[in-house]
Amino acid sequence: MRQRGLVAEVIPPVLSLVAALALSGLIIAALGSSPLPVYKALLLSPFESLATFSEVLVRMVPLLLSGLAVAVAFRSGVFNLGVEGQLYLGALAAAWVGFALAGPGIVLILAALLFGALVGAVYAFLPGLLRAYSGASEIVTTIMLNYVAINLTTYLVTGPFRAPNAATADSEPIAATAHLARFLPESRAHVGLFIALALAVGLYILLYQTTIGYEVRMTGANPRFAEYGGISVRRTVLIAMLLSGVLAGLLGAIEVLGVQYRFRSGFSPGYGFDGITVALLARVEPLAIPFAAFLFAVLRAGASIAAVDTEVSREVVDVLQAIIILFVTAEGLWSFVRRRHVVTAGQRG
Amino acid sequence: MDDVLSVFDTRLLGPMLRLATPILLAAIGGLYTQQAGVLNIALEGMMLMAAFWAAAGAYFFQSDQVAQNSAWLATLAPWLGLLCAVIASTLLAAVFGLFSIRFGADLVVTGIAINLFAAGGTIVLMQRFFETKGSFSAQGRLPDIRLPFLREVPVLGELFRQQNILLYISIVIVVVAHLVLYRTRFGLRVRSVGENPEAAQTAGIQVRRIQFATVLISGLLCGLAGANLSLGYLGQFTANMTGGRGFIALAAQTFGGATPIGTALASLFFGLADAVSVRLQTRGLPSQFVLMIPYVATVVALVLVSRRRLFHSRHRPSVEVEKAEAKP
Repeated sequence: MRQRGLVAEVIPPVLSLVAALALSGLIIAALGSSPLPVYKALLLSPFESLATFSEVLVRMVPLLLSGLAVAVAFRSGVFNLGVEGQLYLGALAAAWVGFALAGPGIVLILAALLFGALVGAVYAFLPGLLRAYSGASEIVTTIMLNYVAINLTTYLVTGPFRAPNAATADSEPIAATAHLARFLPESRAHVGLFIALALAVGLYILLYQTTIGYEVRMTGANPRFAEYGGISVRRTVLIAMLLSGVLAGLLGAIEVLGVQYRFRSGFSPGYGFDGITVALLARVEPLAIPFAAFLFAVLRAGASIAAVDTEVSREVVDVLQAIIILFVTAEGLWSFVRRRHVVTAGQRG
Repeated sequence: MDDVLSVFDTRLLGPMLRLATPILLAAIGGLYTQQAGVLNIALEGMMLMAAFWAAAGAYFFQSDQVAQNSAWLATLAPWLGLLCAVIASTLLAAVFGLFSIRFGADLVVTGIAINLFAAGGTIVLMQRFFETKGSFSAQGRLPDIRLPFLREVPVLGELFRQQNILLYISIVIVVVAHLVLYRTRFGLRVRSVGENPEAAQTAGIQVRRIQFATVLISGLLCGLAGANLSLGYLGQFTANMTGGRGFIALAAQTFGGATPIGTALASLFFGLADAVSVRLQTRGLPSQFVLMIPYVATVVALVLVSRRRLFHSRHRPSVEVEKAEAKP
């Protein structure tokens, strides 16, 4: 698959994207709106000024990290649908370091990132363990734990961690020294983008240059073969799940240190699920994920503009996403996203 | 401790049944597909889409323009809403089946897409037709069945004194599911497809057709489940009102050992967790903790089911390997 050449790799997702955009346009027209202004808002308006473009860069960071988190689990054949919950806990952990501890900026930032990553991993441990050692589907457990995490973090910032005079359920603000540096004038774009890009390269190296990466890929491609080859499938699945949790926790931490500067309950508009589309569109290749994340950041930023400029609500991007997923996956499946449970006997059925 | 135990009394029984109903209906849908070897995580999205169309349909059919022209339609409005729900949900199920079974896309990924489509689509539709993203009233709901003569009977009275008609329909559906799966030729085929698709194929069963049929059945039942959510009690649709119940239904089906009766009992357990959660919201506990109860209960149930396997799995090849070895 990797020898197919860049063009052959890129064309199917691009075609899926175009087809999905066309179908969404039909849906918009069926609802009685003109699709053209929506297209314009979605695809062009984010590029109109440096201010709108820098918002794309801000939105790209969580999408990129979520894509990586989903991808590393996917590559071992596991679906981590719990990125959403893990990122909430990682964000709260990082915010706690930011407002409760004191120290030089760089130490505080590193501590917040590490603690966020650790808490994310811990929260991915239970579904990972259940999946690896008992075969209990990680799908239901991770989804359920999302609801638990969102309620738990909301409780913590309405109770123990609530800022004294906050009107909404927010934590205290983090120390100003713990803010991630911004790199464009008059914009919120922050260096978390470069951390996320470095992590994409890091994940590529991990998957393709290290033993554990080899084991993850083999487990995802063919667990039986992997087990015969001396790989502990269970251990590998658990490690991939923990890595996924680490990336999700980092996502939350970076959002707090780079954009929010405090923990706001319910701050994620579903980054954990956007990551699924990003990862699939990038065909679960770490180095392609930044491109897919950028594209989705454009669509998300454009949807906010479309919601103001047209009568179509921003959730139309969720519909678009769903159609993209259907088209991307239907044009041919990749061996490492295993078909589960449906065992189609013979291709003609 | 007394305070905790005082939560549990017979007055929980009515809400337990009421809250178990949508879970049970969706879970029986998930059971059909699971028996045919199709993991159906689209239950959540199908239910949500159904809940929207049930409320929107009920609203439309008793609006003034319909009522002026044909009053008899307006009197049937909630039932026509139910019909809209079933149609919408079954159509969504057909898309799920088309992409996963026909085009061979991954089941979980397709299910995720269906859920996203429903989550975003219902809000886009609500904004378009009701100009809100929060909730809208259906201006009506499906009738309750009152059994006043049960008022004095201790337990039965609490359970059945006043329940929505869909509860009774769901009881019938459990019995029918049991009969269909274990007493009919179709049920035998479904189970043999789930057990061993290659053998079923060899025996002349059209594997994909059977699987597709079960997916459509799950769509139909999720239609009833969604209508129960929006038209069964409050008579309104709220954004994301399924709140993970489709996944809880999937867990109920697993927890219940993949049989109709077991699934019904598991759904009652999750309905009880929901009822306790609702009851505790009036007791001054932090609402977030209370809201967690159904989800924690689901995870605990899944841990309990898999614990046995956890302890006995140490010296056996892992589950993935067993699954792979089942294929030739």
